[in-house]
Amino acid sequence: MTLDATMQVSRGSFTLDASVTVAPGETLALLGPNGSGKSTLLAVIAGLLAPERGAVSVDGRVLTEVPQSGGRRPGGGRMTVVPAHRRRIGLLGQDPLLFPHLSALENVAFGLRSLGMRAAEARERASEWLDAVEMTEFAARKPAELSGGQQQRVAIARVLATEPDVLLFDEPMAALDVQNASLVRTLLRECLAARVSAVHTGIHGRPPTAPATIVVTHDVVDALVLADRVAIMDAGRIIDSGDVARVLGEPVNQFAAALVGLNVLHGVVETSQLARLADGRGLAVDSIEPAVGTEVSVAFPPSAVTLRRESRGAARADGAATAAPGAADSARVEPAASAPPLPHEWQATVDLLEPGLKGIRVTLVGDTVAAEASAADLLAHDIAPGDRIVASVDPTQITAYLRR
Amino acid sequence: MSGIPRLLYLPAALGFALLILPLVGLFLRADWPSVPAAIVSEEAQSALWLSLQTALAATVLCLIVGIPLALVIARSGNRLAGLLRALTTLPLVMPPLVGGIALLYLLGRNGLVGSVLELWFGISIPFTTGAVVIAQSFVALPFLVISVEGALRTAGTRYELVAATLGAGRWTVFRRVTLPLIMPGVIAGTVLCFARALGEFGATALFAGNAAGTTRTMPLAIYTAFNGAGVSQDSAIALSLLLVVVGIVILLLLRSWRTTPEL
Repeated sequence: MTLDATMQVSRGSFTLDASVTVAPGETLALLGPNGSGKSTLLAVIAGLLAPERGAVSVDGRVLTEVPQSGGRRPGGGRMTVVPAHRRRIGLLGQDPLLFPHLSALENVAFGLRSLGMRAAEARERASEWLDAVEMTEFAARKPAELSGGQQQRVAIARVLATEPDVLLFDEPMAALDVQNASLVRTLLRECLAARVSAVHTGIHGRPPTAPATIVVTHDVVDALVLADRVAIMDAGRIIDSGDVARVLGEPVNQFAAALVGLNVLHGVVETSQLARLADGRGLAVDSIEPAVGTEVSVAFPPSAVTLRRESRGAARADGAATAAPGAADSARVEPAASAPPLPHEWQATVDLLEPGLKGIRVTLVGDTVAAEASAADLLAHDIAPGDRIVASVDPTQITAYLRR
Repeated sequence: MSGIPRLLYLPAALGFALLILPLVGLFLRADWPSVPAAIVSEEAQSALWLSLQTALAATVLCLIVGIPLALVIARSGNRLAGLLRALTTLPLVMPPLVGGIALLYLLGRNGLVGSVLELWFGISIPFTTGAVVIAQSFVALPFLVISVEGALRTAGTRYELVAATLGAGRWTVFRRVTLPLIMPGVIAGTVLCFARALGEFGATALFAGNAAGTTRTMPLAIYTAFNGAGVSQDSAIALSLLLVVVGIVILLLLRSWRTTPEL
């Protein structure tokens, strides 16, 4: 089932203006910070919210249609919003929202019963689904007697059991602790990979088809594990979308880069091994594929950035290439101004030290580039906020790609 | 019991005494040897049965109209909900006597609706058992609505939305999700509603009158006995005791139902 959705929604100063298309069996990860409009987008697709303008259809079946003239004004064009219960769109949020008065089994059977299935058959099928999420032994428990991770497993079984055309996951791991999140993520991956075929037999009276899936998340891990394709959302717009490796590996701008934990800078190819950045800085790159003179983006992880104290190692007038931090320690101490830095080095002032992904993240004053180093490294080089330092980037860890 | 300023135990005890001491007085003042006779008297039995039947009927009526009304209020926009809630709770702040007069002017022989009923259908409501049920519903309904609406607001709409995405239509959602979720509130509201209907006096007296067998409920029988028309004050006390005991028994029954884990 192919999902096509395009919408405009205004909430005060916030405007959501986005389109998504998801193919049958495909999983799209929608990545963006809180408040970027991801959940609103899902609400429109699920039929819980009518857009000011837009359309949602699944394989040509129109679910929402609000024409240009706007749905709020009477007579301004025909407005269609198929109610949520007739859309065949499953939604799972970060809160499992299992019905507290029903057992795990009855929760899973609920959707099947609502579709008109007889109680005995619904219960049998529900227990197969509980088996698929490894919750069989908890079938008789009430939600209050289950842990958060167990509840989310039951909720996954519950939404999959209705065999929806479209599956919407709204941060399904966000409320879980790291270990449970990882377990549930793996389970979801298995379910999506198997396309729920094990017990998926077409209860809607038509051959079973693979659902189109959207996973909304602000965690790049979800995108890596679950998605075939990634779209990045910022302030109500999709700023980039495409293949997971491309979108995550070659971020279009600083915002997208920050989401995936990379530094990104823009510039022009000067030679096959040097990019001239917009601010005049040069950046040595191992090898640049785009032609000389083209506009490129360069991305590198914070851990590829090396920092050292300017007073000790910056002024290397002898022009020694790639000064490793260890070598810098033994270098002569010279006034910084006496020699310009190498093309791939620049001077900066340390702004903040904060917890990073793998160590301590170091931000620089007036610079978007962040570095990451271990606490031991920072101590060894005596780097603290306010220090003047020289930064360099390992040329082998830089990716240069055509600017989009 | 830590954390309460000791000084506050004094007003708390006073409040408790205010509620309980009158009942104690009633029990002490009772002429116990004559109590059994007063209770099994035909007068008392008839009043008790009438009270239980009308209060039950009023409670059922309140449930049928009160739960939907609470739903409408809970799901309305803030301003409309505020208005509806204020109007719904009006009978709470109004003396029941005033309610009785109002009902009389609406459904009485010369009333707005009553005259039409009389003229077209030959139906006269005042001073019938039906009038008792209407008067009791009038004063008891707000208790049910407030209680159920509170439960609906607490439950929110999140479960209902999830149920809808699972394919449940509105009626299924109401039956299988909304109603079970608010059941504690419904039960609490039902208890209050029934208790209020059972004790109703003012509106009943004015709108339904005090005819033995058809409109003389327990409170009216107690009032009649207390005023010495035919029987002594002792039998008024005996009847009061009976009503108190009935109330306590109902409260206990519903309390035990409410605390069973299965909803």
